Amino acid sequence: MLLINKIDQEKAVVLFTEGDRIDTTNLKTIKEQLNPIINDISDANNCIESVFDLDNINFIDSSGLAMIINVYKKLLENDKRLVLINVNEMISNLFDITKVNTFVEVNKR
Amino acid sequence: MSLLNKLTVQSKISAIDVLMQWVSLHMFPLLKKKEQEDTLHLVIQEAVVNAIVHGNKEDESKNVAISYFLKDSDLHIIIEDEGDGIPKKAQKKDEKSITSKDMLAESGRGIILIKHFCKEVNFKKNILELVLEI
Repeated sequence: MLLINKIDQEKAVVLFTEGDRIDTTNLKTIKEQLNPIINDISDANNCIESVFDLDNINFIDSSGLAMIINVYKKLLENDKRLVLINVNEMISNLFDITKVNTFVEVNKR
Repeated sequence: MSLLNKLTVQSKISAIDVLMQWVSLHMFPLLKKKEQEDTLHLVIQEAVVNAIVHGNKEDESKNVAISYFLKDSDLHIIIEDEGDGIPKKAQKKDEKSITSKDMLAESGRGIILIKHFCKEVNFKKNILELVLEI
């Protein structure tokens, strides 16, 4: 799973480019790649928003949701927002059921 | 009612892909709508991960067994581990009782999702039965 990090002024876009899921089967690998990126975004003075582009993601389980929560909490500690874009219908539904969308902005495809 | 098939896997995360391939081969053809595949995938994966991680503590000497049968228009899926069963407090979780603390919790969403998508969820010690209308 390769993540491309693009920083554009006040926004950092993270695109999941390989694989179509964020779940128990690949979470360890994703976290290894994502953690340094999130640390950089948290430390960046001019960056106020981290955007996760989930256009390639078709499946998330509860461990994937937990990872997103943890990213949100980490960013919040440094006054950064987390926004999800290109979220498919099923995944958007999961955010709704578990109320994750209460504090993370979720934008559907 | 007939027992159609059963698979047993070791309690390791890498077994999940194999198990889900078996699910798609044996259970997906039973579904009436393709849209149900994602739901079935999710609830089974949640139950199996729970069995592997919490039930069997990822002890590879312990197994998780999955079996299924059809009864009327319902698909019954049985997931069995070698643990002590899901604690009563966790069994009671559902989306109506989510608190602010739950929303930001490290875990606990699996049961909520399972209950949302299943017609019925039965806890019997180390056995979890999911019932889906298909």
